[in-house]
Amino acid sequence: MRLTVTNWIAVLCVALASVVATSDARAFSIEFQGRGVKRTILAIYDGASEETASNSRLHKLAEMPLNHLGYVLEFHDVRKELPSPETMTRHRAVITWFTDAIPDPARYLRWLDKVTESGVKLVLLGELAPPETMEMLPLANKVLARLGLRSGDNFQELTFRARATYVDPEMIGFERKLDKAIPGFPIIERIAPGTRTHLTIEIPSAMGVLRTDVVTTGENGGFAALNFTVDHDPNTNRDGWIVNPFNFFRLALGDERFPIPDVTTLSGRRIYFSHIDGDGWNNLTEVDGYRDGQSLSVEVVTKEAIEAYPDLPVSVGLIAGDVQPLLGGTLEGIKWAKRLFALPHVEVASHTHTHPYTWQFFENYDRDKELALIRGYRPPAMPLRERLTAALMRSAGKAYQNPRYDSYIAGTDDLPRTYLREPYMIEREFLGALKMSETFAPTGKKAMLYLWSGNTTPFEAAIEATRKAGVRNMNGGDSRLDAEYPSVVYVPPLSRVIGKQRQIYAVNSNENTYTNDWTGPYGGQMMLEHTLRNTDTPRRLKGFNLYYHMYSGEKPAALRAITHFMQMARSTSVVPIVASRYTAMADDFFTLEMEQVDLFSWAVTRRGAVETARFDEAQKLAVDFVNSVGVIGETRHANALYVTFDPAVQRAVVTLKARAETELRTGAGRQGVPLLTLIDSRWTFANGKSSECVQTFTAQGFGPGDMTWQTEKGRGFKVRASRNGAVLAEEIRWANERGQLAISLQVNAVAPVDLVLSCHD
Amino acid sequence: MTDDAQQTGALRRRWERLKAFYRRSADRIEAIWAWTTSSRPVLGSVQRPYLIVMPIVFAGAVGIGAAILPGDEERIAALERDGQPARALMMLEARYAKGDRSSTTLFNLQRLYDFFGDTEKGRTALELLAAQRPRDPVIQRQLAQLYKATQDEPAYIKALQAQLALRYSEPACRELIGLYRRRNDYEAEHAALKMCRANGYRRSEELVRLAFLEMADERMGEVAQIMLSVDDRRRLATGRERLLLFSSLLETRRPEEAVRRASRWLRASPDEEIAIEFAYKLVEFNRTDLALQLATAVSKPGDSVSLTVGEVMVDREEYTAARAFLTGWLRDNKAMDLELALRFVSAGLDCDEPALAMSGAEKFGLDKFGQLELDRLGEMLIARGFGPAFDRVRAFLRPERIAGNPLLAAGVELRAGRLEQARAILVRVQPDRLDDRRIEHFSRLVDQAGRTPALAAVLREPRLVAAAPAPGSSPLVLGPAQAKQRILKRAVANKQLRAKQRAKANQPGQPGGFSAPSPFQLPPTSQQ
Repeated sequence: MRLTVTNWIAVLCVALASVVATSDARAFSIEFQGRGVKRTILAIYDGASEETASNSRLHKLAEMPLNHLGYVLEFHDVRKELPSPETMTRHRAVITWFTDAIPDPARYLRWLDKVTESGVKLVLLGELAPPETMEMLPLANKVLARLGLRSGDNFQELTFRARATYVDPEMIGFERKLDKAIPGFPIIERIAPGTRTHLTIEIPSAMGVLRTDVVTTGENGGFAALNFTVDHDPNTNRDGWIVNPFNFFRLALGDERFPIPDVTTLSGRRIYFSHIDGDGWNNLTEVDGYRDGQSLSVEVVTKEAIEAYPDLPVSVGLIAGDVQPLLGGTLEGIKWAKRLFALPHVEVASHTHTHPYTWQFFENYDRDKELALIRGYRPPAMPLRERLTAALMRSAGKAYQNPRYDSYIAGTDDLPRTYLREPYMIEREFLGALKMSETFAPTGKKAMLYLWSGNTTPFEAAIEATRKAGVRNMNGGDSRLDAEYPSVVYVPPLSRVIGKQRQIYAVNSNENTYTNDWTGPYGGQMMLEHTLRNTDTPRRLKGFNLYYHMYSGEKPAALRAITHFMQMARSTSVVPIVASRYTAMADDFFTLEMEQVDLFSWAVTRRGAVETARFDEAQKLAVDFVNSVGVIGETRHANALYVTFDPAVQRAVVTLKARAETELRTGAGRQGVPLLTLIDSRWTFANGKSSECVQTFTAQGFGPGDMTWQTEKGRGFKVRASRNGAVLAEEIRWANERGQLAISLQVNAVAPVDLVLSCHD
Repeated sequence: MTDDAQQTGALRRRWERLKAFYRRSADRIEAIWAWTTSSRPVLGSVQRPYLIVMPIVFAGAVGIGAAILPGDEERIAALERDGQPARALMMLEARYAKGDRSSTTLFNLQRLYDFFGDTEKGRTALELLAAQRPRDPVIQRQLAQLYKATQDEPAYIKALQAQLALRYSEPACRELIGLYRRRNDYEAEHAALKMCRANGYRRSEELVRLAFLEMADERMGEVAQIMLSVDDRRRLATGRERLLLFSSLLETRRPEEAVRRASRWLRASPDEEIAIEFAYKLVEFNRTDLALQLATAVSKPGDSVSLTVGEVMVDREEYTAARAFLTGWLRDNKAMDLELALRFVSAGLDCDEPALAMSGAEKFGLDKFGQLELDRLGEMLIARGFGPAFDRVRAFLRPERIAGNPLLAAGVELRAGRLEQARAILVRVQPDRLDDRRIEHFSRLVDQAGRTPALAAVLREPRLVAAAPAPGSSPLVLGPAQAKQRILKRAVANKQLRAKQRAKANQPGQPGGFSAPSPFQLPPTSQQ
């Protein structure tokens, strides 16, 4: 448990605020000046050494922890004209992670001096402005002084006899300890008492003992020297944080408490969603019971993993080429597309038209270049038996088709895309593919999502095309946090920005990374369980995303892994949603705005699909429902407090108070105290209305309406679910000794239902 | 064991049994025939002898048929070939339930459990198999891979250890060492590195890593031995590695060998910054003679390394030679930067040659110096009586800087001919706050201003406090404790060296640079 001085002060202030609020709340609120919460951080990377923002250390290593803390990164290439310092006041901080020489460091340093002078924090990882010449030293030290530091203008390459004399256990050794052979370090001296040192190293030298503070935080930012941030092991080719990135960024950015927009949780539960990329739609299965009938993978997945789980939604991305015989697809696949998309818990999605592998190839598409590649590509030679079969079928007047031996169907990513017969066209690849998916869906059921294929690094115009088509986009990221990838380094941020467009990453990795690129062991996705556990505690970093390809229906072991996780989703406390809802939440994370309106009160606007906010280290805090607006409930997980908003309320206000010894509620339904507040639910709620004895909501969800509400102990309620006036379920339930009212409604709520909870005394 | 090998073995056994059966049957038929022949008188009454022969032939055929019926192993293989792995698994499970723990059964069970994704049962079968065949490296490796795939890291480490105990394997060594390192188990990593090295592990990066671990334990003899062997096999590549070997040789009192290696590296790939670093190291170890030898051997006229020669001469108090060398160096120098200028000025001043120092400073440009450096230079010039040069420096000094330094302020008054004012300033100086060199300046200024009794009294005051440079003082200011090591002071500014070495150390896979984030280390990627 982290109990810093700041936290204690916060707790005391909350307690004080409660006392003051009861005596003279108005006087207290008048004194507070409302102010917007700055969540934006300017991330400056060097395009010369890191090429693109999404290839930068800041994106790959720092952005996820920063997103988790509620911050939004805006990337800027240091080679380009730097933003005017005057416009920088909307940013909370500048963050950099330079390791190589940057162009014109003096210009950059002058800019940084102006920006930090204006009060913008500096989060400095690695070097300040390499290569810093001696001429730049005074200015560098001027900037560093704002962090409470001074550069000794010395770098200790050999660390013979160096010793770490102070190691803050809360900050250092997060995933990797400080290496026994201490790496080279700069001599950085702490000069301000307010700057907190987290790692001090001393080394004897001819000029006495040299002391350096290589990891520090202070009111104006933080510093972590090169070699003390992330450790790389060349043997296993794995990285791991030395510094605790969550603690480091939190302290470096001011340790300010605010409601963190959270996309992992809805209605107090971890989100669950599943999506399937259509690859392998037409593959013949090896699964017992299907193999003899030469069934397709899609049939196996449809029957075993989708139709058998109507309570678990899934978004299915069809590759248009798979159902177009002209390109190399089959008509058999259409039958299954229609059957799948007709299911109410299946969301229609597209996994492209021709399945590009290398998206960059299509940014400046050249058909001649592609044809040259096709000509150079050698599909496997057709064996004698296949040739004989083909000849017999042709003689019988039947078409013979085996994509394995077709030059225009790439079986691997040696070619830029799978279906090569027709030239690439951006309209067909996006709008065309989405329309194709929709043609197999019941009338009115629209495609909602575009799932990236291949290397999942689309170019700006490609993402723009999905936005123009009115759908969300997702994939990429390949999140892992397990023994094979034992670091949060391998948990990606929410998204990747390219130009003005944003690509949303999938929440979990698919079977490909678990099965060595689908070469076996085919049941490898079972290991997803480790990532699911590690990204839920000690902090919930990600939701539960079951992501696979249609070819998982080909192998019994792969199918077993999928159904294992579907069983898990059924038996654990999750809120199942469709994938496009998650992507909407992730998109809206970046546009959400908030304002601190009182010492412990925040107004949250432009939330879009984000319906949850989180307060970390909130063991001593609780939601003050009387002084909150548009807040449905609260729940706790791993020391964090999750607050559920009512999506119908435009400007929600969440107010905190000191947590009572007991959570027992009194006076529910009177004097502003809500009759019921949500603890957690499998469904999601909106349009909450509360009176003294009746509380109503619109509810929607998949599977049974399992929910728990907080109210007064022993209180009885009549619970009624209806749709368009028709009562679907009605029951009487009583709250237990702890005031918790547990309900389980066996109602299909895929289409929204009206939920009424009224007193039953 | 492969499927083919198993099947060949089974067929061979079957064939042997068949041959044996055939031989037995032939013997029996022969015996029957002999009996019937000998019993002809008895059987003579039998009208149809084939009635006896045919049943025997039939029985023989049935027997043969039964003998060549496929056994369980063939049936399991056939079921799998026919796409009925579930039935094959059932058969194997039945055999297992009856107590069959043969290698073939366990091997096939594991394979089929893997096919059906039943990891736990597959693991049990493979563990039983591995226990049966503890000296089979293939099975042990397979077991290790299973533990890796199922992310049981402790079991994986044990399996790798068992595998290495059986037979040396470079990939296993590499993996085991990496795992220990990732778990921050340095003792185990060290032990594994030594064990693998003893068995023939020769990855240079790992040996360098071992050297760094030895360095952390201050075993410099070991460090030198390891690094020498690496350098002999493939020349050390990074500055950090070279520095380690160089330092370890100095620590183990082999400076000549260090210089020999350093000269070889630097001749092959000239690197001014590291050359200077080596020279400074030698000075640190009181081997200025070798420093001079090295710097002379690897430098070019006017470059930063050759300036080190001059610095070393100053350090050895060979002032006349140093002056001559520095004069020549300044003439040959083609590109002066602040770092070089500071070093040159410092050396010039150290050998009591302010005019030379001033020439170097002006070549670089006085406007490019910081106030601290100008302060020190100005003080030196006026103390030595270089009035016109002092005036040129003074033009770049801020008034508050002059006002804050009584030696400079007194110098200004002296230049204006106001001796009384100069004395008034000097009499307020507290000599115990000056270092030796500045006391000397003070004394010279007192002489210029006129040694009044009051000033003489100030000069006679006992030194109460050992002088030490105040924070923020000029890099040109050297205290008595540092005077002997003044050349080291200049080492602090080797920016380019640091940048180069770090850039090299930061590359993924560079030993010794283990803490650098790999710039292009990607999370797991998949083709979607």
